Amino acid sequence: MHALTIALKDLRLLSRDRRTLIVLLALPLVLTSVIGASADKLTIQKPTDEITANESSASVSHQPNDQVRHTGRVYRSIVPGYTVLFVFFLVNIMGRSFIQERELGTLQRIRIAPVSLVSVVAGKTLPFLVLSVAQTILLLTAGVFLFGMDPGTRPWLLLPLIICTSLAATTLGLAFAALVRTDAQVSAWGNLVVLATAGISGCFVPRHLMPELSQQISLITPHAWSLIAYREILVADHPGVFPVLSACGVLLCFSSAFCITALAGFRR
Amino acid sequence: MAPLLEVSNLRCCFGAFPAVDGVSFTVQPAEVFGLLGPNGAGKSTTMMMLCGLLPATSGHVTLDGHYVSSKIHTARRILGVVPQELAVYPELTAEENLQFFGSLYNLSGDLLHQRVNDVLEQVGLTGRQSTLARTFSGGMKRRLNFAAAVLHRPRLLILDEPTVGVDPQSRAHLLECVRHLQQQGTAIIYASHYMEEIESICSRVAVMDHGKILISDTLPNLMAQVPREIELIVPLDVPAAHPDIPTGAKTSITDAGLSVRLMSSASSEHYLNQQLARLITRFSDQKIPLLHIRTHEPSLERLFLELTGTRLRD
Repeated sequence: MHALTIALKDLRLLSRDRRTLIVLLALPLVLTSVIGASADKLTIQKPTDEITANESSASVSHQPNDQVRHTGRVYRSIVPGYTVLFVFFLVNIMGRSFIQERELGTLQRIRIAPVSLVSVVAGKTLPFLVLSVAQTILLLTAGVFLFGMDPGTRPWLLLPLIICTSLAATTLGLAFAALVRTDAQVSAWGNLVVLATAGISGCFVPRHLMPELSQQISLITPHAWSLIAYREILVADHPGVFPVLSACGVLLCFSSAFCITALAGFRR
Repeated sequence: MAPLLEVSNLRCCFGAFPAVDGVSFTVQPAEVFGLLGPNGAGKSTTMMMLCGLLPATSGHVTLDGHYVSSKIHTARRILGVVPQELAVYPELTAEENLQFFGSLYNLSGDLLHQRVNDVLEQVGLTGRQSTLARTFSGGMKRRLNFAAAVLHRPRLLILDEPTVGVDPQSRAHLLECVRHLQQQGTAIIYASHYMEEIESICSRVAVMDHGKILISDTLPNLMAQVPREIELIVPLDVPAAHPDIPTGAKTSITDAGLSVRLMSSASSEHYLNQQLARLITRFSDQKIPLLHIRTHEPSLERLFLELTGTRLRD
């Protein structure tokens, strides 16, 4: 109950923070469009370049219908990568939210009330989880309707994946918030964590184009598991439920580890 | 009467450094207990332990018979804290802030609505309930900060520098609110650097420094320990070791001249007057002009400075 009270308060605060909403919702949409358009042109100019391993046999044509299909293929490679990247940008925003509460003294005020630490942590996480899910749905919907991205033959598998990815991102944000102490630390470490993990995992460059060793190393990040599942859902002709749910399971393990780290950090 | 709060031999060490070192005191219901101390004296650490935000290295705190360390949620239900920071959300209205903090104490529905209206009226913010807190003046924010701590009607209210940076009107209003709560039976711990506030509302006062309580007593008893002083200023050509200056007097060179301070406690008031009369007569006989004469009445500030010294604290 207290967790819900804290979550509703944070949702109200977020709804009044236009800059954060722009960073989380509008900016990813614009960036994905721009990068997608650039990549689209690049691959049309070089028809021999392949978008995905599965599509290696499909040469890119300049016929209008083929071009629409080709654009969709570009976006189904780019949209998940950037979606996962932007979901993990929450790490910064969550860190900042906690720092702000600490600096205002409101976090201490909440902790003086008869509220358990778990309720505080859950209440602070829930709004960002909602925001993260909304952000992902918005980006994927835009991918489908604006850029002609093919959602695959089993789009319902996206739902558990979206939730598990958002959970991993928000709990990582929580662990990060428990460890940082200043706004400067959030800026420095937050950007490093977000960009480094995105780079390692294959958010910027499609994973199948990465060397085998890099692909193996990338599995230490939750992003990589999310991207593996996205690829399975969007690219495979007959997406398997097991590979997607296995990746979701790994993401839940990451979330649990991040949660434990966060609780230990807040108890200090 | 059993004390509402009992602090017994409380210690808190950060590494080898004892931030609080064996602090003991009690607070009775409907008592305003003043806690004084320079920066770094250990007041905030003590208050953090009272709220259960910081574990004690040793010793214990009981609130209404409950050990704070083991029955933390029970203790927190009857505890209210007005922090030094303006711990309210600037992007929420006064009403939204109060509704949120009230909900944390399981207040809801009509009761919450009624309590919010009551405290808004109490702190003089009725009519401003729909205004964002960030647009409030410093005094209004302080009053909202106070209101958020008393919504759930705590039996013990801890105030940590509640009037920092506010105008005299808001300060007077907040002090009136504290008196009102005390009359309703709330026990109050009041920490402040403003001695006149402590003198005006506290019945008992403790002075802390270096993690220890240096003195703790009722305000009249504390005042009785402070000597009354009479200071005479004479020209600088008068030697500090002038034979007519009593041996117990303190002399010092000031911009105005040589300062001679005669001191006496309340019990030897007559002796001080005798000394003063004798000295004025001698100086007059020797044609030494008295440039200035003034009295320094006993005050908490003088006691505080005598106990804690005048060295600057970080």
